[in-house]
Amino acid sequence: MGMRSLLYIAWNRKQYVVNISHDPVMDLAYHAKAWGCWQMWIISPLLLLGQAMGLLWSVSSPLERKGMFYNQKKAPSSVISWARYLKDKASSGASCSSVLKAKFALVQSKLKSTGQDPLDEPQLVVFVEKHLKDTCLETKLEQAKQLLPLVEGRMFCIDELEKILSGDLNLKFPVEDLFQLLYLQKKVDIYPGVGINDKGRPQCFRCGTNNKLRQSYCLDCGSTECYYCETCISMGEVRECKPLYGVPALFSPKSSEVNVELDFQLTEAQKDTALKVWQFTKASGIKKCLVWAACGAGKTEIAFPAMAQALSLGHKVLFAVPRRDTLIDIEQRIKSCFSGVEIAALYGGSEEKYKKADLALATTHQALRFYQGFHLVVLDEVDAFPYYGSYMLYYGLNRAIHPDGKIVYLTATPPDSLLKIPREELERVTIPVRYHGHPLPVPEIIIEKSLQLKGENLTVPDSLLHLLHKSVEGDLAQVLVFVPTIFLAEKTGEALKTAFELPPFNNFDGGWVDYTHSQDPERDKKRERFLKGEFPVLVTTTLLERGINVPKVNVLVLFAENRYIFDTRTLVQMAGRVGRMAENPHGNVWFVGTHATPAMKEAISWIKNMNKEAAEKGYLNRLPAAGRMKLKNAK
Amino acid sequence: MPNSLMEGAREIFFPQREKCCFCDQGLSLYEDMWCANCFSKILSWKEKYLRCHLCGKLVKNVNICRDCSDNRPLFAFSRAVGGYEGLLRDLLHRFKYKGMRSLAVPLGRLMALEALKHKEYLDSQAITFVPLSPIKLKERGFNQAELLALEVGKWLGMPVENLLEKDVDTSPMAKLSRQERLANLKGVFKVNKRLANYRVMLVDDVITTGSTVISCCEALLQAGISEVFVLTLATGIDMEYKYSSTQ
Repeated sequence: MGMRSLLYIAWNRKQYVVNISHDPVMDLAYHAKAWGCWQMWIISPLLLLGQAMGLLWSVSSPLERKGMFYNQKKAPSSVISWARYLKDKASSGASCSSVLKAKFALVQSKLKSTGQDPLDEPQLVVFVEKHLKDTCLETKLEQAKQLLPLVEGRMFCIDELEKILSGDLNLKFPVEDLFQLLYLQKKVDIYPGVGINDKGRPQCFRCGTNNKLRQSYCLDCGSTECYYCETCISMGEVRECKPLYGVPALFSPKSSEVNVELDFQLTEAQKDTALKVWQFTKASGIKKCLVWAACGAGKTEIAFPAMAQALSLGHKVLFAVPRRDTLIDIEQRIKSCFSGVEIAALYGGSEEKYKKADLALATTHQALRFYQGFHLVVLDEVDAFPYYGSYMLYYGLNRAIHPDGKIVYLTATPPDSLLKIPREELERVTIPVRYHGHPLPVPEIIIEKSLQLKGENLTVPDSLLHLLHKSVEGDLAQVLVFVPTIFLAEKTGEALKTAFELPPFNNFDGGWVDYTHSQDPERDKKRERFLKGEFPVLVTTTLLERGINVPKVNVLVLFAENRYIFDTRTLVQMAGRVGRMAENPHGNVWFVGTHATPAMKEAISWIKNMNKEAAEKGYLNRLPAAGRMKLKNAK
Repeated sequence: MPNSLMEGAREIFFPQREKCCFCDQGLSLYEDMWCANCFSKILSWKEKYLRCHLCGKLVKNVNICRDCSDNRPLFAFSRAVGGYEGLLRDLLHRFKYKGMRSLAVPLGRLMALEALKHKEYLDSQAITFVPLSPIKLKERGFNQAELLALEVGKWLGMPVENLLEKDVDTSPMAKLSRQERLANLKGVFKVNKRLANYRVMLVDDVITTGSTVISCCEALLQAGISEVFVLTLATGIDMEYKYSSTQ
């Protein structure tokens, strides 16, 4: 299966094509049939697909790969290009022999520079009628046509094809031949698994990365220096000698009603935002839209009308989230709202991975399996791990969007990269208020210099214990205590445990305090117990910064001056844990640090701006507290 | 041009450190390919176990393991880099099942280092490896034993020959007992040519009960090869002794 390919030039009297093939005779037969080409010159030795593709991209223009007329050149735009143009005219003008000579010399010099053996002279293949019959061109074209709709919108290598087809089509010919014909018809794009990119460096064409490419002996192609990618190896191996086929979605307009049935009422703010997003997908010339919602505003649902609109036009829609557990959650909600729509949930370990569907719900990793397939992509929680900061997932998701497609980002804390995009390219919509109509709790900064780790011991100052006592026994609210590191989580947890055994706490049985972090094997159990209200104080790292809904909770952020871990987004997310339920819409958030960092101030100003906007638009049941920043020194 | 200049400058001020093939941490000045930490983990079995003088299996308190004292193996002797546990087991899983074939280079080098300790390996005329059935080969895409053999051959400067063939696809052996494994593999391997007075080194990834290697040896000895020395990456640990020591 290892594929080796070569470069050729095929021509007739008017035009020529530069391309690659693993079977030049079949290509020649196709060209002869399609545009009356009769000669082909082979200008490179057999190369691994990655090398051959890199060579092709470096020696030819897109127009030459498509089919270029000999004297088809752009009108010159500057003096120098006029001079060049005239010089060309004066010499002889481009003709088949001059093109061949130029390309052959270029290919050989490139081969030499990469240390491969060049070809002595180009080889000629002339078309004869017999080729048509020998290559079974007609039947192959027929079968390729049947194959195309089954794989549209996907990016895959040959090993995956069997699973995608799942026995729907009985292929009589090698798949490589069929896809080569589709490639010549410009219906499929072929990439090498790993190849040389336009910067002349090796790159994995599935995940877009280049940091974990390794060379090894390959049994398929026999080369000892065949690259493969270890970054995306969990999705199956891609190699330098294996092709990746990208099939853009075929657009077949159909109009069918798609209704969204919500089992609850949208609030005013949600309705306004949903309308704006719907207008964006329908009419706007802008391709990106950012929905900036307050924590707990119910942002997932506001994309539903826009999705229904795209689906009713016959477009394909992708709803992507970074993590699997949230996806399973959302799958239930979406399935109940969109009845009568083909829905597939794609995540690692899902059985529907290769199912054909109009609405795909996928983790961002699974987006790597698609190629220009979706006219609308909705990406929830743009700033969440693992999507945030991963080049691979960014690359994959952007490739999955159709060239005419649009993307909607949903988030409570948009990353800088999105905020930097100018307004002409990114439409911004906000939902400034939570569904219960109360303002977001504004955090309070507490300067506390005595909270420090001295040697092995951490003593919690009385002022903080007073806060905790007031919260636990006064308000009867649980407290989430956030600390920056696992080590500090353990230390703080132990320190609070001992402090809680002393007055003023009435902690007679002990066990009011527990701590957890990502390395804790019992983290899920502790989280469940905390949610049930079995103990009031949980010390944690940023592990629980999102996706936890506690009925009545206050948030205490210790060591908040640690700016590498507690950046603006993390602080806003942590503050967003408070007051999410309609029964207890208020609560307290305290940032405790040795000094007030810019991140703390920015987080507070983000929250205040949200509240201000909500008040201006008249969404609030109650006006927010006075707008001055409170600085309270505990000493 | 400015780009390449910038990159050159970056190379000078922040040179990229080589990384350990096993743990991805940066290597220090005198380390090559793997870090001292990983290497000591791989060789940590020496503190706990002895090894059987014949089959190389890790044992406690004895010189010859029980299987070998019951009936002597067909190969002359066998050695492995370490026990099939801990880091080595993890590496082998990554190499064999997750498809990280680039690990063949450091693992092959570890095996070559082991082979250098024994004169017999260096006296053999060729290296051969345990084959995979064609179905399995297609499924996995590579033969792990072949990759290791090629690396060992490269480090030791010895020729690697594909002597054995496996036509029949046998069921996976991981859950079978020793007797079942031997029956499962009876007559599965074939040698494709006649070789007289030839000593070979047989390479495999892991040896647990030794049944695969013994079946290969049978075929090789029938073809006229005089002696077979087995070299593997990992070896089994004699469970009985292991448990008795922990109790």
